[in-house]
Formats: sequence, C-alpha cells, structure tokens
Amino acid sequence: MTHLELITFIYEHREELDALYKKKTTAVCETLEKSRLVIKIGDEVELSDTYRQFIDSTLKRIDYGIIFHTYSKELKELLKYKARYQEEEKSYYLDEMYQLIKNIFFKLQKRDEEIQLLLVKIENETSLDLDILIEKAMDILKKITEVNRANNEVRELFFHEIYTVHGKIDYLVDSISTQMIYFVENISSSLNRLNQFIARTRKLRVQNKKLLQLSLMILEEEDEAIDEMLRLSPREYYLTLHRSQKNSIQTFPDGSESSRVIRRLRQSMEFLEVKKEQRKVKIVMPQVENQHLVNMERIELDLAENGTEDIFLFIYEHPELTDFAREGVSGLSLKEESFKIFLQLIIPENPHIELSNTYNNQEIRIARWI
Amino acid sequence: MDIATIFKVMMKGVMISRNSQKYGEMATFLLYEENYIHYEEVLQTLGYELNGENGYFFLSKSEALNKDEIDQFVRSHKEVFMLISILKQLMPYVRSGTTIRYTEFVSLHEQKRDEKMNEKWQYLFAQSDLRSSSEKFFERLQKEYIIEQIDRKDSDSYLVLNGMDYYLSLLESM
Repeated sequence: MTHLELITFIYEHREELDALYKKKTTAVCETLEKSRLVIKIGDEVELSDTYRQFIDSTLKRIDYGIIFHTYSKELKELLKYKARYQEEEKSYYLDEMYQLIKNIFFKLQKRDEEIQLLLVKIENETSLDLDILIEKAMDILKKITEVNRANNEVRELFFHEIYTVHGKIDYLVDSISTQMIYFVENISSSLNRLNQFIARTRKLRVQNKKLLQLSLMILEEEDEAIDEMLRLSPREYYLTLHRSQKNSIQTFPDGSESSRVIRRLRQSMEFLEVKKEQRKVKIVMPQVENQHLVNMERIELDLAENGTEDIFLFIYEHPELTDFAREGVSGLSLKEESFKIFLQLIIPENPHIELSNTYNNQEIRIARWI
Repeated sequence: MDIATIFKVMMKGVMISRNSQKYGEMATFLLYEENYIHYEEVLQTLGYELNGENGYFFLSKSEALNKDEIDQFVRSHKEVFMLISILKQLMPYVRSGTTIRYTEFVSLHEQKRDEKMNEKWQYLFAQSDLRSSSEKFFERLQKEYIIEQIDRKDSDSYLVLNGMDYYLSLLESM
C-alpha cells in the first residue's frame, strides 16, 4: 500500500476510526479489522498504539500514562560508532553518528513539547478527584525529573565524548547547543511549575476537607466553635446584608441615610487642600535604548593584538562581557553569552584559531589564538 | 475613579474583588496604598472600617454590633460556608479565578447527590426541585459576591471572584 492509498483508506473508514478513537465502539468492518491501524484483543477491536500516538502527537493531545523513554540505547550506539570511526575512519560511521545525534535532538524536542502539554493538561484538569490529581502530578514530577537527568546526560556526552570526533559532527553539536540549553532550562522551570501546582492542590485539598467538616458540624449543630470564632471580632468581618429581606439590619446606610452620608463625605473632602498644579511644558527627551550589545569587533581586535591560549576564557574575562553581566540581560548567564560569542568566533574558518583536544575548567574546548 | 464613587457602591454592602469585571477597577484603585489610606481615613469619620486583603475589599461598622446584628452575621456566614462547601464538594478544583458552568453544576449535582448533600441543600433551600433551587444557589453566590456572570448574553458561565478567599481565610483561622 502506498502512502496515498493509506490516506484514502483512512478517509474511507473515518467514521469507524473516529468511533474507535472516542471509544464508542469495539467492532469494525472486516477490511479495517485486518489493517494495521487497529488491533484485536479478544473480541474487541482497538486503535493500534502507533496510530493513536500519531493522532495524539499531531493533534497535540497527551495521555497522563505517557512513558518518557531515556536515550540510553541511542547514546550507547553513538559511542559504539565513535569507537569504530576512530579505529577504521570510514565515513559510514560518521553518517550514522550524524543521524543518531539528529534523532536524539528530535527526541529532546518532542519531550519538551510533551512536558509542556502535560503541564497544561494537569493544571486545567477538572474531572479528577484532588487525591488522584496529586498522585498523577507526583508521577509526572518523577517522570520529568528522570527526563531532566537524561537530558543532562545527553548534553555531557555530546560535549565531552562526541564533540572532537570530526568537524562535521562538531558543527552539528554547535548548531543545536543553544536549543539544548533552552530544553534544559525549560525542564527546570517545568519542575518548579509542577512543584507549585502540587503545593497549591494540596492546600486546596486541605481546605476542601475542612469545609466539608465545617458543613457537617453546622448540620449537626455542633458549631459552637464557629460561633465563638465569628463572634470574637465581627467588626473586622464582612456583614452581608440584604435590605430587601424582612428584619434586615441597617449596618449599611439605607436610602434615607445615604444622602446624609454622601453630604458628610463631601464635607470631609472639602477640607482637603488641592493645590493647583502649575502648568509645565512637557519636554520629550529622546528615548535611550539599552540594547546590551557586545562589541565583537573590539574582542577580535584585542585577541589579534594580545593573542591567548584559551579564547573562551579570554572572552569570559573581557571587559565587554563584564559590562554585559553587570547590566544583567535576562535569561542569559555570563557563561552562556561567552559561549555564544566563542561559537561565533570559532565556527567560521580562521587561520589564527587553533582548536585543541583538551577542555578548560569551564568544560569548554580550548582554542588558541595564534 | 475616586473614593466617592467607590463609597456609593460599597455602602450597599458590596464586596469588591479585583478580578471582577464590574468592580475590578475600584479594587485596583484601592490597591494603591495612598488611595487606601485616604479612603480609610474618610470612612472612619463616617463610622466605617475599610477592610481588604488578597484582592478583595469590604466595609464594616466601627461601633460594636448589637446582638441581633451579631446573630444575623453568624447566620449569614454559616449559610455562605454551606454554599461554598456544596460548590467545592461538586467542583473540588474551584478557586478564585476559576470559570464554572451552571449546567455542569446541575449535572454534577444530579450525579453526586447523596443523603448528606440533600441535608446541606435543605439547610439552604426549602424547594426540592433541583433546577429551580440550583438557580437560587447561583443567585445567592452572586449576591454574596463570590461569583459573577462573565457575559450578560451567556447565562451559563460564571467567574469565581477573589471575594471567596475572604471566607476561606476565615476557615483557615478556625
């Protein structure tokens, strides 16, 4: 069956597939039953796992039961191909490594999307009991913590084991490095968000239990404690009154009183001296934009003039970056900004730059300016 | 916005919430310390206290309440606790800022109705007809400034106001 024929097949059976997706039926026609879009369990037919995954991922839907697989298999393969390439130097192993890195990156991206979807889903959940909701949130927290660990493992391996193998691989790792930092930061903020959600929901659960208890005490007329608490300092509390009701209490002024009160209010406001403000000519000053730009040219000139054994550390300690760090551009650390500039310098071919196979104390590859 | 306009509203016993479409602007005005202190001073000369925290504001009387007033105050609060308890028993996720739907409430009430729920309901309403008493339930929540209809044309959707936190903070202090 071709791809086009498959699309036609899905279209022809759309009603049955939709009913299966919505779990409204467990039986379909024989042709569909024989296809790989469904599976038969006993007498019942269900959508196949791959088809359901395709739908959920395309429609950005997610199930709480999602399993986040780690990348250990791919990483093992990657190291295996690295060793073979270093032994035999066949470009085939390099291509395999290139494809594996891309696959791992796509997985990282997919995980990131799935985690965001999962958080939105659980934060807006209204159909579950709070106990179950907390249980599910704890389960997701465990899964995200595991993904966080796996993401860090990938990052470490890319930069420490794979980066020096070949220029082609290095270029790919460099081009995805900023995005990888973004994924790691996203996971960390997701963990915070989920922890806050769990704390909020736990508080809500305690509140609801207390309310239930209180309502039962009121029903059973065992509410002396509530009476006492309310009577203790009612002046600080809100006295809800509906003046249309019989025997209402005039804590708030009624119609006859309101005009008198407004008059008194106006009188008291008359004592307020309002100084007439002198007219000032408004001078519009040209707006100065703080763009936090780093002068790359200056760094390059200083490098050419002084040279260095470690370009990254040179950038990291350069006054241009010191200013940048002090002015505090949100979301970027000094190290991340220095690393970005470092990449911009080393990626284009430059006869003055010599890359070594060793790393500095910031775990960045040492490059000399010669 | 000025304090005379706010007083005209609050003197009727309105609890103003920051997330209310009707009174949100007033609550935001009072969030400025300068405005709050000024209004508070004026009110004290009139015999009222201004109370407000967590995005809601209300007035209370400066002088001591008499026995009848205290009795009504206690009775009214118990009824509101019962209202919120029913609301949260049927919709446990409800907090200030949540949107709730009348039709969903009625359907959940039909599903989860039990003996205790009936007792609670009877504490508030004499009518046994669920639909008409549910309407009363929503009307009462609106009168207590706990919920507010989001759109005049949509009689199904309501926003839970910050005012609900007043009762929940009392609950926490118990």
